[in-house]
Amino acid sequence: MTLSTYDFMNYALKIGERSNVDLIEVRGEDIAHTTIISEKMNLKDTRVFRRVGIGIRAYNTGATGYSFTTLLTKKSIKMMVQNAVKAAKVASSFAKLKLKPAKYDPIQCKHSLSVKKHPINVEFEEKKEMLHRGEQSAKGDGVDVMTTQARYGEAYGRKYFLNSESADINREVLLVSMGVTVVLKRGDLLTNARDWHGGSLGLEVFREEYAPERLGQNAAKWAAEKLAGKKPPAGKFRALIDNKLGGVMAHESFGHLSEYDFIMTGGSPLSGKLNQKLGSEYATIIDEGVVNHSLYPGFTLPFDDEGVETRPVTLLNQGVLENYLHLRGTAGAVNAEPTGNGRAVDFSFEPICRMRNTYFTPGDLTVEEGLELLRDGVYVCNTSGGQVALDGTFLFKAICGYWVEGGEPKYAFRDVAIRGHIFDFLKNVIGRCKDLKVYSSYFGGCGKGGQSPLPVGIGGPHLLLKEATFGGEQG
Amino acid sequence: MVMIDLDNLISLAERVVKKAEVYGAEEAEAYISRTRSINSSIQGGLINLSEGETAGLGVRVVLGKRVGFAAVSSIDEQKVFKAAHDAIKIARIRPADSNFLHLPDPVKRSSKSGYFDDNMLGLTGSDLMTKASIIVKEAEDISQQITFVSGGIGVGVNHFAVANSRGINIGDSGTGIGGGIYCKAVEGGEERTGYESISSRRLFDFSGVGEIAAKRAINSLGAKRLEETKRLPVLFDNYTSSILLSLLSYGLSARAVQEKRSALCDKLDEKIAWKNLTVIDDSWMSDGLNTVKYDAEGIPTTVKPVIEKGVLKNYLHNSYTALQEGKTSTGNAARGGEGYLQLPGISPINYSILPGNKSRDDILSTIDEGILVKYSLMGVGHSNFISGDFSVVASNAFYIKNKTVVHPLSPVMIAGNVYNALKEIEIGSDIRLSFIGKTPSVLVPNLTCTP
Repeated sequence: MTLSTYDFMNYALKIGERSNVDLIEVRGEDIAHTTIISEKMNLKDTRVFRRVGIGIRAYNTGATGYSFTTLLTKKSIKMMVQNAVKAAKVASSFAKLKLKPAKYDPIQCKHSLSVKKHPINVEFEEKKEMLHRGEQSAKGDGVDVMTTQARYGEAYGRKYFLNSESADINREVLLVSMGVTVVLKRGDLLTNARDWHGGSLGLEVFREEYAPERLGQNAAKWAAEKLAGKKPPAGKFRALIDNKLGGVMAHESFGHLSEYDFIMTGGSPLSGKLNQKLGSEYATIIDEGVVNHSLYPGFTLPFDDEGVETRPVTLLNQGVLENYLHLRGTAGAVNAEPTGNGRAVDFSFEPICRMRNTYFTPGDLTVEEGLELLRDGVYVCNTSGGQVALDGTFLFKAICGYWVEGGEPKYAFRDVAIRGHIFDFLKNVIGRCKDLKVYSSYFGGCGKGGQSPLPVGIGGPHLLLKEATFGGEQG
Repeated sequence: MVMIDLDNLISLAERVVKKAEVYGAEEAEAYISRTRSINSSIQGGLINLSEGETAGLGVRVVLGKRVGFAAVSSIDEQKVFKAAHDAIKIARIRPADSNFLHLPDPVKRSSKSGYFDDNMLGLTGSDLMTKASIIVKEAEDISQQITFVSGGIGVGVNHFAVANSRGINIGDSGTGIGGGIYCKAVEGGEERTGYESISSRRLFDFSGVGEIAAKRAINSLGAKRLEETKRLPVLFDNYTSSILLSLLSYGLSARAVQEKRSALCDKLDEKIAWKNLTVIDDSWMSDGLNTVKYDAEGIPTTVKPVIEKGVLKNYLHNSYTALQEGKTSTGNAARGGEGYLQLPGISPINYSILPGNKSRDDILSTIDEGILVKYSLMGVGHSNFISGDFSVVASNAFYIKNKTVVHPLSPVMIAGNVYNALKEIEIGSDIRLSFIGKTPSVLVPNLTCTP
């Protein structure tokens, strides 16, 4: 008889419980990954892999020890347990900051997602076809097109969690995403743009607004607008920012600062600022595990990798800092409620404090009303990357941006970069639309502590800003 | 940690190849890696200690001109056979690659493994934690100015095996240990960072690393802004030079050359660098961090000049690019990080840059105005690898005036082109072992420096 991953986890738990430590947690996973990349209508790269393994964590007087293996034999499991217990004992003799697992009701649950077209039931050929459709429409009549690229990524499978307090969780993991990129060239001028969608969804999501053709058309339209676009604006303007850019801001520039490991070691500018007003009444930021939205769920995570239910956390409530994000061990240490933010990218890592789905909450304006209220200023969408520092400063390059006059977009910019300090940004939010959208991508995700890419959701509504600083790159 | 039997891995790889053939592959190759590691980290008083093992297999199969690849993080027979099956499914739907000829044949030539330190096998998490806490304390104790210290030490023992249907069946093993400290120094509102790390194939005593990192942070305090953007000579120390020179790897790849993506296309036997620059790809360097007896396709590795006295002598090949030119692979197939998840690309093993005659101080004493870059260099990954244009940030830079270092600088952005830089580069005599091999300090006479 062959033993399953789950059987080996129970075996590990049984041995672990015999050792003299405070708490034993066992995590297991079996997740299949597929990425398909097509360039200039040719299948360029196809990768299929499956990750299976088990990790175990032991708590001993305020510190943890971790061990993991991909070798599912009784012998290597036994060794893994011994190593974790030994490591916990060593760690506790060195730890100056003590962790204490917060009290909670252990959960026993089997969780599944229901989607119409689960990627496991869709043939590879159909996925390839989606990419070709996206590229075909991105190419259009081919004028100025230097290259097109379409990529698709999926991960699905199960994560398991057991602990010595009788928790027993078996949850489904699902993430699909697809994007199309176009590079245009006219003379020496190069522009590019990308559109994408993704989340814990079935492939039925790639239709209508998110049909591959539509993603390709959008990318082509934006890249063409930039080709004809004017020089980027510099200086301070009123601004309207879209869902994706606002989401990246909420995650990268604000969310990380609220992670309790940064607070605890004194590295975050949010240390000691609980209950202080940092933003306007329109600035409310939430981090939650399950976003109830059929088209924009982000990454669905009902339980974290410490077996904690992922409750919604209001980080910023109408501008006031209300909560931090916790590991179970940091929550217990400071008598806070566990928030369910202990996450590990895979079994070979111990959970660290990470976000789930982070977004600004919506208001009641339509996007048209948002543009009207903007009157004269910059409408700026999406991001192709940027940088943030732990002091709260940020710089993001937008994928597209427009000059708006009297509430009407007048012309596009070639490149737009928005920069500043997150605290100033939060104070300048003077309105929000009702179009809440949360996205999650297989490509990208969050990087922290060498654990990358961890799937997260980012998003929000369109946000209206009294003032934002635009400018080229630093230096 | 325990030593494992390489022969078992090789024989599993052979069984996977046979199975893939049974499933219908015309050719097949299995790559298995197995790594045991222990990692300790201390971050502002929070402790992480982890010990574990990963093993996995990547299988490449050939159907005519179609190549399929699949991987699994397991060496359980059932799962690896399933991966072979998946690879064939992928191959069936891949477009044909008209350039693909066949998997590599075995190559008979001598080569060498790197140093394998048996002493590493006996290390425990407790040993690493003790060492890590010593260097963290060193840094904390240097001065009140040090406000944050994080650091850690990690050790790994790895093994890999490759087998293919043309008769390759080999493997090799290696050991590695690395440790480092990152810290912040604060004085009157100014915050500067200092960093030091060391990696080695042999058991290593890290004492002093914390002190060095802390002093670097403190020495960078009192920084002034570079007055304006200007073109200046930049002296890179023997650590930052390795980061800059890693940019060359892209252009030296025969794949980039054959696909006309390399700035070094059609430059073989031409002068591309200053005459005193000799770069050897030394795959057998006993203490080299990447030294290995066989490459990621099972081809014996080699020692060859890449640039000899300024003249480009060799491109780097794996079997795919070598077969395009009817040559034998140079043994530079590489699979990157978690190796079994990747198809073989191309990478240098260890660059060895022959030292010049002048010490770093001798070179410094030739500079009227310039910048000394030490300890860290960020952003090299955002360079344009095709053209060689780079724009990097030096966090620990110092201003040189009248042949002397006068004061630290706040972070400076340095931009230039690595291929232009080669033509004027001056080589120091101080060699340091780094992740790309052995590099000395280098002076590049003319780079754009922006405050």
